[in-house]
Amino acid sequence: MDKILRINMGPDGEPSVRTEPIGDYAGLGGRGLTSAIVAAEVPPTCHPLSAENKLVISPGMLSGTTGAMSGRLSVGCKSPLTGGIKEANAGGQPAQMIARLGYAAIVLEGKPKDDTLYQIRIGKDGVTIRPAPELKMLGNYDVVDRIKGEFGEKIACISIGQAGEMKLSASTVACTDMELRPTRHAARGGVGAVMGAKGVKAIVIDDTGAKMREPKDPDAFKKANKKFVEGLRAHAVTGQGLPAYGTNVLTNVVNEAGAYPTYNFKTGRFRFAANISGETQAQTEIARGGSATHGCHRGCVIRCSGTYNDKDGHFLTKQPEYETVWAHGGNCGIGDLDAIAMMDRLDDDFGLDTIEMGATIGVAMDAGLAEFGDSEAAIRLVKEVGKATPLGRILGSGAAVTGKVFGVERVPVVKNQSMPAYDPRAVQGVGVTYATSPMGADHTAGYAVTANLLGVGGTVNPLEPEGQAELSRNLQFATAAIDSTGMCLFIAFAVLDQPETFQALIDMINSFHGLNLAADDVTALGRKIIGMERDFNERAGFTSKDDRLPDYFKNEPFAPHNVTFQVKDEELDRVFD
Amino acid sequence: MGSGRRERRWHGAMMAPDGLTRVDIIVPAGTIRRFSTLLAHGFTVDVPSGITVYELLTGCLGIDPGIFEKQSQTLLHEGRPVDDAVAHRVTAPSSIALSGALPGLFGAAFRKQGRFAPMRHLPVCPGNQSETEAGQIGITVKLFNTAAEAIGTDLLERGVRISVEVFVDFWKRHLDDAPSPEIKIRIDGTDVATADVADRLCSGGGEMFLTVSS
Repeated sequence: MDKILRINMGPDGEPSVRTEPIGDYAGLGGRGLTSAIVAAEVPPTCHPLSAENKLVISPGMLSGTTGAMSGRLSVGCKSPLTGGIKEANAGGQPAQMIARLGYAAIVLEGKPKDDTLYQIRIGKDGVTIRPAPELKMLGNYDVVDRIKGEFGEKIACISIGQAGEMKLSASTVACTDMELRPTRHAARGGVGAVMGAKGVKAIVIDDTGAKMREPKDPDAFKKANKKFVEGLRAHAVTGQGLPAYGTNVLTNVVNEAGAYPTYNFKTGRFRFAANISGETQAQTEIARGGSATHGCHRGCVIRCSGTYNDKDGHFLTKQPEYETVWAHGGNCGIGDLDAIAMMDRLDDDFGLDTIEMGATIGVAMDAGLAEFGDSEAAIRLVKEVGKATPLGRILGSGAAVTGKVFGVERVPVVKNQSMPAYDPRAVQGVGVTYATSPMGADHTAGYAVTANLLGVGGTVNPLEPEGQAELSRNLQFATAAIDSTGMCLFIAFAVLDQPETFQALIDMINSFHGLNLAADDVTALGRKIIGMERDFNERAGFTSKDDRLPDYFKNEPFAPHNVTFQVKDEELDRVFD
Repeated sequence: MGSGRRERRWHGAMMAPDGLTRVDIIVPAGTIRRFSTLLAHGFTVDVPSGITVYELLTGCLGIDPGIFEKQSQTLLHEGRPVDDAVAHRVTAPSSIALSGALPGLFGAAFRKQGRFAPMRHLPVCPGNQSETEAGQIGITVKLFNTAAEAIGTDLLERGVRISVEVFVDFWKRHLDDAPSPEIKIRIDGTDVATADVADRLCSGGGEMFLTVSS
């Protein structure tokens, strides 16, 4: 993984390919590498759909190894949704294969001279690019079916659906899973639109003949990996809750805590939450012959995904995540798991961010386009995007655009990106992260909770209301570091609670790369990444005024606790001091 | 957890309270857990006013202290986090919820006595000392995820007071068409076909007393 593959899609002549050494970017992977390349090479004020923007696809530092949980793929660019820097990441098989082919990153540059749509194949024997008119305006499932027909099933695929082709700001980059289905998505920020602007419909990754990446110290790596896996399996979150119920295990409890944004963030409890909870979902999946425990990529030992079949027992979609179930469910007043699963399938097929689409439909419901709770109407609205109707193009551009078009004030976005499934009034520390993350409202930006073990948590008293800013900052550093390893963020739970598991992770990195990192170095990496990202955003024109929640979160008490967002602007401004 | 000790402590559900419809279900061995999702909606327990959350759950409900410790990673009283179950008292009708370990920032922030508690920025529940009621009070206990798995089967075997509306909805969605030979059901001592359960109960409203055994 010591080279970068650069593919220039134009505009002068045909696409061209060059491979270059990783050079100054050595030592980076995943989010660290995507953000470093975007920060260094993309003019911050460029149009996100212009030739000057770049789409950077990067496996993590441990991807392509035998290390558990190392299959995350980062996708970075200047975001069409936020106008700032973006990293979105996904599971699936591509990260492992790209890493085994030796690429630290694939960089799509330039822009085709016309609207020709291309298909790229990357293998050990080189790179081929050809026009692919037969894929035009196909959904991801059909794209993958055609690619399977051409290349067989020992490949992985990165693709965009209709939304990416239309360059909509809610569009995703899809990655195939172990079953070669396009179910894993780098979803946030409209990264699919940038791939669409480059004229790339699909990238086929074929690692035939490529070997597993070899550690510098194989014995130490094997030993550390074993200890790491033992730690994940021993921990209650990664060993029990997540495998049994997936991320949707959160629904019942977030709802009970009054933090479940319902009816477009109007209230914190949803009457039908239990009907769409992880517990009910798992029961439904098992009863229909699906699965409630499944990995999203080889090497995953947490296995928090699953298979959701329809009432007749046929595959409908992968297990919808908590955020998806909330976005299309409680946020829209919909308590029907089958309807939510259908929207998840449609989102995956069209290539849409489920969080952004759920939030957008909530805004559309506030605008009177459908009634809250009307699942059939919600499904029709999602289908508008796939049909490329004018309404569909508006909805596929996200909640902020939809709110403007239909004159809705209540639009739950930061930096134009929709908030996920925790109301910032009920969980105010999450609100700090929504407000200050360079990515826009993002629950994963401060998701990793390794701060104290990394030595950056400080001495915040848990019984004092102050301290969210410090915690949020440190969590964002930790998350950025983990996003660079290619590790799934869910490892953070075991790492937080079990010092030996955290040490095993450090040992894995050190033994693989021949390094001697300590906890402080990992923190420094996260700090460096966030620093690059914030610097890019500043150069793009962002100011402290962009690090704010919409006013209604400060003014409207949120039931049942009747709280408003109370963190002062000055405190938000001090997060990264 | 010895059953004798448990029976002595059990206040809320060994006997069907007067006036409540009693529903007894017999299912194949190993499938009682299928009903544990019902407990997410809550069941009612009558307890002495002023009891601590710990006493309520380990004493009144008979939950083994070790299991309680493991399965109460997040504890909510009226939706607000409880960090000290031993000290926290309930003195008015209200709800208590238990959850096993949860992922994400929310899970970390709402974990009992967790180091990321400041992320909540919601005051912990102070209890209801100012609203003390004398005598017995009705508490709605909700069990989620692994807590329902670990504790639910035992509770369902002993019996719980739940909402008729919730039970009928659950039955319609999951069991209305279940073949009768697999599931036997009695309502107030009379055998009822599975297809007739919802009709027999839906006019009742209020609460019912449910047992599930194998």
